[in-house]
Amino acid sequence: MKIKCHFAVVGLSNTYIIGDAKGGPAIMVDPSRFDITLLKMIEDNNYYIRAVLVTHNHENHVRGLLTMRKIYDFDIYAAEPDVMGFITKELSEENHIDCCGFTVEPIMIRGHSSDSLVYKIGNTLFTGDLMSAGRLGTTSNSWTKATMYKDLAEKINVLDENTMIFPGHGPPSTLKIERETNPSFKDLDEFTLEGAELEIHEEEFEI
Amino acid sequence: METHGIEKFENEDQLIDINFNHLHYTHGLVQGKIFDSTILNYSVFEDVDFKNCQFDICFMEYSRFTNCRFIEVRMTHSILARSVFKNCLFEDCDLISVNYNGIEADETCWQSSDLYYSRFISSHLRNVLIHDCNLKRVDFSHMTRDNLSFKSSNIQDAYLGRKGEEEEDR
Repeated sequence: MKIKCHFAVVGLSNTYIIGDAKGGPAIMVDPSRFDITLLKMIEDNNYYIRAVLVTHNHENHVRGLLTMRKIYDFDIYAAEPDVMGFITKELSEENHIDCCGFTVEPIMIRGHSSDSLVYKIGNTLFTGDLMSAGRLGTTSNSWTKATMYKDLAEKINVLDENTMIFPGHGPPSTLKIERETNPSFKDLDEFTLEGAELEIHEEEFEI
Repeated sequence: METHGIEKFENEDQLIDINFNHLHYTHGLVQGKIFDSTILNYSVFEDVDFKNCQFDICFMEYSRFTNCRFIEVRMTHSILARSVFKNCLFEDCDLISVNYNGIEADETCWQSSDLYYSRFISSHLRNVLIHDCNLKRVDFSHMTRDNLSFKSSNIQDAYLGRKGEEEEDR
């Protein structure tokens, strides 16, 4: 598995291409911006984008779809049925995808947004905004924060320490490094070890 | 991925998708090499000069660099986290989106380099100079520091470690 990373200066987001080192059909994660650098990355490596995985439907992670759609023929996978006006193949955790020679496992982590998915391919996670090197994703209130921590503790922090993390923003990391250096991971450890119930502050949750 | 040793490291110009975990390399010049998805975790480098090298998505965590110089190196989307730097120099480098989280750096200097969007979260910096560098969106939150200097660097665009002031991903 070969991973290429494109950093979009506008939006400050990472786009990833996953394919074979020799080229051929490839997966793209979060087409944030389509620019000449991304086009060269695809073409110079002889890739043909056959699948786009959307971690969440925020414009700075999906805007590149508008141009991508004019060039390549691919399926869009997301937790929502519609992204940037394009029909998607809607995913839940039960839907493992086999595409471009890879098995993709979607992991639903609620909190940062209602449609946030982490994609696991082998021992690699594509985490979007849910976690990045030294940080966890932002949330809008204590309920969504508690929900995100619970999901991260139960679904991500149980994975092998050598699991690699490729986030939507900033440099890559590994689960071992996050456990040792990410200040917010101490809270996750408590949830994992003690199974603590999370306090929900209903007054902060708008109905 | 098979682990390779010092011979391959010294003799090949393009070190792509190669695992060199636990490499021990001393008193050498590494010049003009391309490292792409190269794994150099738990390695030891002593008295090594890296000149005009390119690193893309490379893994060098838990390594030890002593008396090493990085000159005109381009490094992107790579991990140096939890490594130890003693008496090292980065000069005229592009070090974009590099993960230095949890590093220990002592008597080490980043000079005239672009560190755009890199992270030093939970790092330990002692007698460190970061001079004439671009620190736009660099995150130093939760670091410990002793004699750290940012002379002529643009710290107004960096996050300097006050608790609760980290930048957020949106």
